[in-house]
Amino acid sequence: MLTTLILVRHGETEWNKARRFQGHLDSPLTRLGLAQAAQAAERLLTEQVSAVYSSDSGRAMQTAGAITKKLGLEITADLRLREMDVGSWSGLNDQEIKATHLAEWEAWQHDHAMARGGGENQLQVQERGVAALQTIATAHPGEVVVLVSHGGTIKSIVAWVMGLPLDCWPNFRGPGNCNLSYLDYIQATHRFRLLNYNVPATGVMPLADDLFNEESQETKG
Amino acid sequence: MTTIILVRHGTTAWNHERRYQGQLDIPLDQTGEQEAIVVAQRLKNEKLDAIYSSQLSRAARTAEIIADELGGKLTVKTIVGLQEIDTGTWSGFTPPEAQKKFPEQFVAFEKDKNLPRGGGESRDQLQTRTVAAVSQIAREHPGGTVVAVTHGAVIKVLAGWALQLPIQFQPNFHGVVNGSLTYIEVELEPPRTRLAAYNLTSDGGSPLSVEMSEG
Repeated sequence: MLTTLILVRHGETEWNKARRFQGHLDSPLTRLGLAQAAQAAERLLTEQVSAVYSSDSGRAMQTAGAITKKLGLEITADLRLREMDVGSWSGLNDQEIKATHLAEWEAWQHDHAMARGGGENQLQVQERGVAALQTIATAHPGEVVVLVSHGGTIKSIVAWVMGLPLDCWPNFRGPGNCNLSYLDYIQATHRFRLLNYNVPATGVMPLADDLFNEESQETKG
Repeated sequence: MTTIILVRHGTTAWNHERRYQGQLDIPLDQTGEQEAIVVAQRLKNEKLDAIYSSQLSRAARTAEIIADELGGKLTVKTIVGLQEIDTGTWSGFTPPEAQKKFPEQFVAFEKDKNLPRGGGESRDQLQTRTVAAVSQIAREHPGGTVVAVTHGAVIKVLAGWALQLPIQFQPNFHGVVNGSLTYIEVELEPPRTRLAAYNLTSDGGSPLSVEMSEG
């Protein structure tokens, strides 16, 4: 029996636009973000979705809310789907971080796997994200399930599915706001596979240049 | 950086019958011709610098239709290095037929998907040849965006290369659908590659209902 899991990144937020790290802090969806959530909901109408899980961060819940309203479902919040915790970096932009955390900033340029601001490292995010994925996949045999989460968390889950070594994670371009990535899970063999990565919710193919929104936002929630 | 949009050729009769095509030259069917038109519509807003294709007719015809639909300004350049994996004596058979005819090879391949089939190519060999082809394309189009119409196994190994994914994890990619788009970014100096998007269906529709088959 196959379970299909659709990972959806939340819509654009005020802090995405201002290029501020969000981590476990939050900022509301912009008008564009709301429109993206509506488009994702529209697309998911065609997929026979039976359940919607979401990170409990406001921006994910807002996105999941647009989806469940359209599909007539309830949201199940799962805090393991939260973005990477970037501790004292949360809410700051690049300049502010350089001003307040210079040594750490410089170290991070060479080591993207390290924890920042006293928060989590990438493997910690992967561990909890994958735990959520496995619980959800085994609970819904034969169904199609949506997981609303965040750029860093989605990337870490997809990297795990692929078996991608940690130093190769930057070789995945981060998912765009409200873009969808599809996994399937074969119950009998406990195997996940990647069907699609970073599908624009609109279904309309935008230009390669701006297909995936601001790439620098990928680590910012 | 060069953005290379890898397009899988449209459907053929053998895709419907789920036969290994390998390097045999099976033409597009009517569905395949339609898929090529839809791919072209999806590419309309891209500033494309070139259209490349495998020389096998199912890819070359897909590329021609795309070029025509985009106004005929770009002519298709064929590269043999982009052709499908060689499946040797397995070519022309369905998986159950191959299992009957080559039982030992079939079992061995199920265990190790890097083994060559029917005296053809391994995935390693396929990756080496296709990476040479896309590196040549990247050299000729720095900063550009190009389309390369090619084949299922080729797109998987190139997506794996873009990630620097160990070859034994290739099967963690589900196959790409006919008429799908996969975006890779290639920088030659210093060498850097990324997988930007995998298996975008050309009509924007659900990928779930589509049967996969290789070749």
